[in-house]
Amino acid sequence: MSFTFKTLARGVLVAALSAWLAGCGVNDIPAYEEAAKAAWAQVENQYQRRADLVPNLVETVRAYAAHERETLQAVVDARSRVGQVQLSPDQLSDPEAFKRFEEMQRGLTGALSRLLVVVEQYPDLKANQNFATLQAQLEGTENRISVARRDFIQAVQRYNTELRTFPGRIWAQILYADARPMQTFTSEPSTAQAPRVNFGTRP
Amino acid sequence: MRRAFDGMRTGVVLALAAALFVSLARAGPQYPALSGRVVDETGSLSAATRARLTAQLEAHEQSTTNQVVVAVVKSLQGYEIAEYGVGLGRAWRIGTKENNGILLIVAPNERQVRIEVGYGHEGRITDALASAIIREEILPAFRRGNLEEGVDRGVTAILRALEGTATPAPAQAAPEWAAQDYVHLLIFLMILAVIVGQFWRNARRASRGWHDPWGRRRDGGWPGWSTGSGGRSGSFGGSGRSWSGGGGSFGGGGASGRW
Repeated sequence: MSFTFKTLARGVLVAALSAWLAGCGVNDIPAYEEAAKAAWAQVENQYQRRADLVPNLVETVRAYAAHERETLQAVVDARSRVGQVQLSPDQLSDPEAFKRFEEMQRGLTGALSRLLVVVEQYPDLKANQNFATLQAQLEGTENRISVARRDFIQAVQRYNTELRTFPGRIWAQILYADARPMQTFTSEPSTAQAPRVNFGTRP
Repeated sequence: MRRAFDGMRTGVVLALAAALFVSLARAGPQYPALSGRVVDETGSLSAATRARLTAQLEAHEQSTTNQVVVAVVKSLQGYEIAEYGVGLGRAWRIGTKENNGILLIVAPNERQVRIEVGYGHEGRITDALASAIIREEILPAFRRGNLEEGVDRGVTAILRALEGTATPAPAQAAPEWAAQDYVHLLIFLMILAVIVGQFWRNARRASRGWHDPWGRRRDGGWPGWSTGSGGRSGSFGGSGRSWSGGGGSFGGGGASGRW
């Protein structure tokens, strides 16, 4: 009887200790990892949203500026390349895959900004209501992308810092041997660097 | 011992100072205080307009829980208005947990305006609609130099677009227990169980004095037992006299314009 009670008490103590540990950051690494993955999902979401806008945008521009064939084709090509590169949350610690993803998206950013420069020469197109709507959506999407990227950078920073500093470093060694630092965007694309999409708001 | 403690204390102070320095160095724009539903840093709106807008926005919040705020700011401090707007919305926590906050930000000195839309209303006030409101309602008046009229028409258009979007008011139930609270309760009960168990065992042995949980015999008094109070920090947005944001967040939805 006494023996069984002793075992029980010891079990209870161990359980209490492990529960108490939950308050000291033992769960921080998986929690931050999930947060970073969620932030990544948002980044992908917004890039997808931009890609979804492209066909409509291209069609509208083509109706007014058919002979800007090269610029339009560049956008279409960049869009299809973007569609081929997916980056699952598990690949976030893979520098190669991450770099490829970012390069593809940058390609589309560049092609879109060139298209919007070209468009400036077509007053009829700019006056088109449908185009104004598309432009507003594109601007909003670029803005959402930069917000999502900023949030992702922060989430990854927190996760990577936790992995490399005390006490997270200890927990990582004991419990989360497979946790790897994640890649993050090298430069924060402030809206200043993003394509200057100036919509019909100019006087 | 004393010396070690002093050393530790110095270390802690240094670490805190470093943390403060880092957080200051990384701070974004300085946002104005959220003094009400209409924040006017530049004095561009008359007292009467401010009062009318405030009443209008308050009535709208009463019926729909949407938090709509007008901010006329002195300076964007060199930030893009889109970046500033998201930061301001998040700093002020405009909107409820449904993220149904909307900001109309006017920067007269930079001649820029933005409608910042919380996550929850991105479907209702799309970027295209926000852009149309800015182009058709706000900018014409701003270009005539009539800031008040532009703000007024903008707010009216935003509220019209939001009509019928009442989200059910969140039930004012007792604050729910967080997982952590259960963990604390569990620990408490476990420790209690161990202690009670020890007493029970000691009583069975009919030994005099008492044993600590490790079974060593003690003769002295009962050692002090301090329980952490673990106070809960609750937010009571909107229940007090002064008005504040309800914890909404923003993801960059909306549109901007220049004049």
